Amino acid sequence: MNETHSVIQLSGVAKQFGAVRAVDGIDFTMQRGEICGCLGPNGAGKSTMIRMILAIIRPDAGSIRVLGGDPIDAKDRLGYLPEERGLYRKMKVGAFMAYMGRLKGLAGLAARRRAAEALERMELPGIMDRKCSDLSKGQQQKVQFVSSIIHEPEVLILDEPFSGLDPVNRRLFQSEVLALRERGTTILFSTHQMEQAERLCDRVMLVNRGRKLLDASVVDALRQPGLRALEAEPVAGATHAASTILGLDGVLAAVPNEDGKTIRIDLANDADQRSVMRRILESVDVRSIQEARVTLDDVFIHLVGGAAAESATTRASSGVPS
Amino acid sequence: MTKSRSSHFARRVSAVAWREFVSMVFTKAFIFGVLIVPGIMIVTFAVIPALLHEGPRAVTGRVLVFDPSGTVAPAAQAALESILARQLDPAADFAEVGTSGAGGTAGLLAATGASADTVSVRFESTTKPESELKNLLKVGDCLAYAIVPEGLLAAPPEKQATYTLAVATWTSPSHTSLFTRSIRDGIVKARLDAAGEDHDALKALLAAPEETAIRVSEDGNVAPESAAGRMLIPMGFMMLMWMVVFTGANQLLTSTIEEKSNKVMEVLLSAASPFELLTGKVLGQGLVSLLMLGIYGSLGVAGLVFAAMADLVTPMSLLLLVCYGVTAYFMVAAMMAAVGSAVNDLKEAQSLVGPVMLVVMVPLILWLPISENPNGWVAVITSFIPPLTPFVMILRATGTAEPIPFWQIPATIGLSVMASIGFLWVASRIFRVGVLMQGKTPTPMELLRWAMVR
Repeated sequence: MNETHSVIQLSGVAKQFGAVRAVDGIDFTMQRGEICGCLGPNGAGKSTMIRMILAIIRPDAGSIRVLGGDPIDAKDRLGYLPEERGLYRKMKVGAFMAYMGRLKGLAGLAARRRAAEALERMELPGIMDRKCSDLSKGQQQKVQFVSSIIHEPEVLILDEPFSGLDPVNRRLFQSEVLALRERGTTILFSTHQMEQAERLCDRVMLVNRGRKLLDASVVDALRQPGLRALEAEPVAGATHAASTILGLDGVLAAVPNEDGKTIRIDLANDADQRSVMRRILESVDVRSIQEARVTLDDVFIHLVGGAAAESATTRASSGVPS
Repeated sequence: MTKSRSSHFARRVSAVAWREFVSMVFTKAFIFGVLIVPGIMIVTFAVIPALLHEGPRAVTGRVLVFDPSGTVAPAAQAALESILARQLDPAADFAEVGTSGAGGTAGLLAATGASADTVSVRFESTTKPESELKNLLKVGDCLAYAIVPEGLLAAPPEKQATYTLAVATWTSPSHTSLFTRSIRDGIVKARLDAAGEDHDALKALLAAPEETAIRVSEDGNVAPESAAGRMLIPMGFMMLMWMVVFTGANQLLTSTIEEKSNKVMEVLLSAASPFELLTGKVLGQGLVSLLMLGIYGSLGVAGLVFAAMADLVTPMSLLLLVCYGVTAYFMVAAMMAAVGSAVNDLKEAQSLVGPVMLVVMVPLILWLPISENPNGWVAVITSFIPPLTPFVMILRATGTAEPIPFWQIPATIGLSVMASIGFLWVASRIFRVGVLMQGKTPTPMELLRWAMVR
């Protein structure tokens, strides 16, 4: 990648808390204007990595450069919405916006003006004189989001930005994030909601136990080796059909889907897809059989869940209680 | 620090400090709290005396005196007229204090404004039995009656003998005091008359002299001396400093805990470094403390001017109050901010604030020995132990019992400044780790370990 355009650059970054190695030698680069999803299970090290990028904590080893320099010098050019959100309960929305703006180098009046515009876009007009404690949870979330972007940051870091939002507001947030990307903002967000990441991100990075497992474009991530699967609809008895299919060569797992009608069939790495399809057609009466769509959920489970997830699905398909 | 970094530092620190200041000062609670204390002072010093001067209830009637000689009633009447006359002549009342020890009665009467205009009482001799006197009192035919036994008028009087004064339940305490005083004086006068002595001449001879104590200041000004006032002034300085320091520092503790518990801390840390945040918070609450020091200090000085004791407060002592007050604030505020950053709620904070409070209570406990002997070993040693230094030094430096060696003032100010920097440095190290910590309350040892984290 072209490092001259790198907005965020982590090289061999490590951070340890007591005996726990929260981040273990991560290399990561983000280009200007990208949206990158940082994925990983709880305790994977995502928040620690984000805190280091924001210069809230310092790495024990490795180097971090943000917008071409020390992260501490880039604070005014970064926006941040943490997962655990908070507001000053007794403060009025306008005063809170002005305060956050001043911290980021904006004059109080400019911050209020921009906040009012952004809140209007977020369908919250006329709340600048209301106390934060008088707002609903969703309104507070919008206020916090706006406070993170009023200084028009070059880099926006969002930690679980869509959690707790209803579908209407989730869509509103997504369109605002995409509009920011259109204006050239580089966006890094961590999430557990894979479909959001798949829909919004150009790239995804998957971390687990402090280590980077995957760093690729969404398209490449979905083409992970070992993630080929078929979806078949047997004429009758999805469970019975699944146990029959599981015994065929080249089949790693066969699990009835939630609809109770179809079966998801994971293929072994070395299996020939056409041969497996033929063997299924010969063994089971099916209405249809086709290549299954791989999602980031599958990638996540495949890489993070690993062998544990696979053994669980195998047990389920063969009727063994988990 | 580069120029850019230093300007960012100044901007962020001032933004945090201003928010802290505004969020504290522009609240109903603060305005009420700041005004209520001066309000209580004004009520105490101005309104209550004014109410006391509202004027007593008028009293008209007779007091019956049963005594076998029949000499006490006229003597008591003379004594009453003498007492009422003295209300118009405070100097005469001063002379009275030493002779009868009943100055309190005169003082009470003076405070209530008893005078010949409101008191019209006749003392009359009676020979009626006590049961009849009681009935007269019950029906309101007399204000009171007194039974004076013969032994009280003998020469010498019987040591154990007492006279009885009976009053109605509706009699005011000041009127009861007036009757008591008159009859007591009347008995003494009757006794002396019976012995052929001149009561007035003896009274004048026995009157103890009253001193006129004055205090001469270094510039030659003269003011009335008050030993109690001189003892209380250093205490007043220290209490004022203690109060404003703890108000600011305690608010710092509360606001830090609030920011941590309502999760706004992480957003703040993404915009400012922990050191910038801590500095801004400490300065903001420091301004609040300074404002309170200004308000209460001005009121205190005004009170001293009112009490003609302004000469006891020099510009130097006010300057020292500010110097020691600022350093005391930084030290205590640093400790409170460190505690606030390390805990999740106020309840958890109590266990860590306790030791801090114990340490800074020491000057309050040692107030008397330090004020009495400002150059004693207790005073000198505690002067050089931060964070006690500013509290002890303000006691020593503003007292007038004995001048302290001048070198100790710059030395302790220097020590306080160095200690403030040290306390703030350690606090910033703890703050940086603590604000991101959740879970169990750390022990003091763990706090020290956090201070050592790279």
